[in-house]
Amino acid sequence: MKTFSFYVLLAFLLLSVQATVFSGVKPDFILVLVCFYSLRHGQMKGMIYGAFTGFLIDSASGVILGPNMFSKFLIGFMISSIRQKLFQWNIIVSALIIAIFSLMDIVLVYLFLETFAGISFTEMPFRILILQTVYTVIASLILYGFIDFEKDSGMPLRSF
Amino acid sequence: MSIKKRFSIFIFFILLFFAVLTYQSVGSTSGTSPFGFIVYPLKVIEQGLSEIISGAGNFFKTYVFVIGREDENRKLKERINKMEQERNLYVEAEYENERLRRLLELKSQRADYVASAEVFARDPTNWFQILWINKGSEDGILKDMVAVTSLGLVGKIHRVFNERASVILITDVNSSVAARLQGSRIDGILEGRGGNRCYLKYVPQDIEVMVGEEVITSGLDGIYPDGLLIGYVKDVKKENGDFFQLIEVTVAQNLNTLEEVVILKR
Repeated sequence: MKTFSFYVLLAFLLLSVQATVFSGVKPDFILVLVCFYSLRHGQMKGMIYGAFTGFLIDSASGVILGPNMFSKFLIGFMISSIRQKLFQWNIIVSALIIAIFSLMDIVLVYLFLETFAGISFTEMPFRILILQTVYTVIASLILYGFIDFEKDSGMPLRSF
Repeated sequence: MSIKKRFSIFIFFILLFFAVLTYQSVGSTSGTSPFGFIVYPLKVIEQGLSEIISGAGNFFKTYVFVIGREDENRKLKERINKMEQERNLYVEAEYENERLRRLLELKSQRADYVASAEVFARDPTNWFQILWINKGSEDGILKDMVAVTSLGLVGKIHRVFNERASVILITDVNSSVAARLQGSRIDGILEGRGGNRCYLKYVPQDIEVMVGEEVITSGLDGIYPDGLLIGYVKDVKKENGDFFQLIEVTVAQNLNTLEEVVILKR
């Protein structure tokens, strides 16, 4: 519960940083947090954390509730499933997985906004979404140093 | 927890999300979320953070770069530092004065003036072009009021809380403005494309549009008052077989560096 609260606070803080520090293309700090939290605390907690932080993003944007909630929830679920199949976890694997999930997140949010809110992003510059993925990977590399994966409860982690 | 139970929870959440999304897609998505309470702490943090960043920026500009100089020069450096601080404060104040003077001019020129507000945050995602201002319903701001600067149109009010409100920019994909080419007096619809881009649509191909021509609001949408400068024609595309041409518009006001806006009545 203590760790969950800490991650919730971190989500509030990093979402505020996203909103105030960046004026152009923004990295998705929340996706990184969801990935790291799900890795450390398993599927159930990962799903709940993903759904909560997604809800936070949707509320802050104020257009429609659900796209980010669904996407981050699914990522929380999937990343811990993948974690059980990976025999090692290090900074390179972390960056690669986050790049894949960042693209998946973009596709999911895009589809949900198009389907349920009727907002078309077909004319939106593709460059922005690619840059978002690159920035998110960079953010994950920075945040990786602050997360102690070996201090995990229950899930053994090995690295190169 | 058993796999069966975990799977049930997973399915429950999936169904819940689809129910929420479907409810919103068939109902109204009028910007007044019942979960406004969750945005409150976020906006308080953002407002605080915005002030800290502004303060830290001044600190770095004026002080940090002189740390580490040699002791014998300290007094002199301190004096220079102080003068630099004063100079930077003066420059900052001058810029601020200039911006505020223009806003005041706008206030005296326009009878539909409601309030002027500071921008403290933007949308945290890359999907929407939304910014947050530090004035809300307590200052008379209502949904769909118009946000402008002395340089041109910015957007319209999207969500309103007591002490803050969000502005949806004209570059947002949800935004469309009834616009007019000032020289040729031809009307069209200006649509946002995200990422600081706008296009003027529904202008027939046989109309000659000059690059650099001014684009203004026409007032035909009943939201934006007529005659407000939006931007300038950047590029004109004419495709064979199309009835209309596609006109790219550069927004007059740089929306990435916006610090203050003026809110006007609808």
